[in-house]
Amino acid sequence: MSRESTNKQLRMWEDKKWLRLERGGVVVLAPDRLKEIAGEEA
Amino acid sequence: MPQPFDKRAVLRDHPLFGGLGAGVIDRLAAYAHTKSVPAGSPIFAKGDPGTSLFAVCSGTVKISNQSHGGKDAVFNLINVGEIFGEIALLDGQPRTAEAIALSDCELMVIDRRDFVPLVKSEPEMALKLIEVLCGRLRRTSEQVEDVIFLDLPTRLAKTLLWLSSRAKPSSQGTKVTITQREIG
Repeated sequence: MSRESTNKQLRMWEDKKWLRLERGGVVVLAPDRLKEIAGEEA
Repeated sequence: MPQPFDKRAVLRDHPLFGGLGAGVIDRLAAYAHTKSVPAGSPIFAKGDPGTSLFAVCSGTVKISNQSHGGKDAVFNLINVGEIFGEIALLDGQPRTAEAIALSDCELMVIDRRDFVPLVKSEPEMALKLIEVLCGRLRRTSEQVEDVIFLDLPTRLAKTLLWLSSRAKPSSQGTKVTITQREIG
């Protein structure tokens, strides 16, 4: 994964409130949405 | 001041060692020593001699590598009750990745010269170790498959879900202690 593309994708998900980007970490707020993207059972 | 570990109690409660007989636990406890590592400190570097096996008694350890360009790749987060450092320990080759304490850690350390004879003499111990190695191999195979077959959003979502499944959830969500740079 290129860093730029990853950051862009993370920011898109942050805008949707699926996660929150913090210093030193990422807080997953909507795991069900991520499961849909990942093709896993939500 | 941290309390000294009751090594036998830690080993009895440990998923890898817990099912072993009292005699084996006693042998392991006699060999093992504990080590405190503050958050952010390296435990070993890629290429170091693999002379020890580590069991996490408290804290989280990050297993990762850095490219020459400074890009990080995080392979695993090792939590309480898990072990790391087993690959180089078993094959006697240099470390394949670096290990860094992600939080303050208490580790139990067993040296190769003590551990390998134990594995040879205790088939149950060897089987448990093989289970750990199989788990690592499955995870690595899945990662390779993901890199080849999946697009970025799917891969990123899978990575975040996997990391969050290994973190403690709170009412505010599940914090994955990994930077954007390390994910990418």
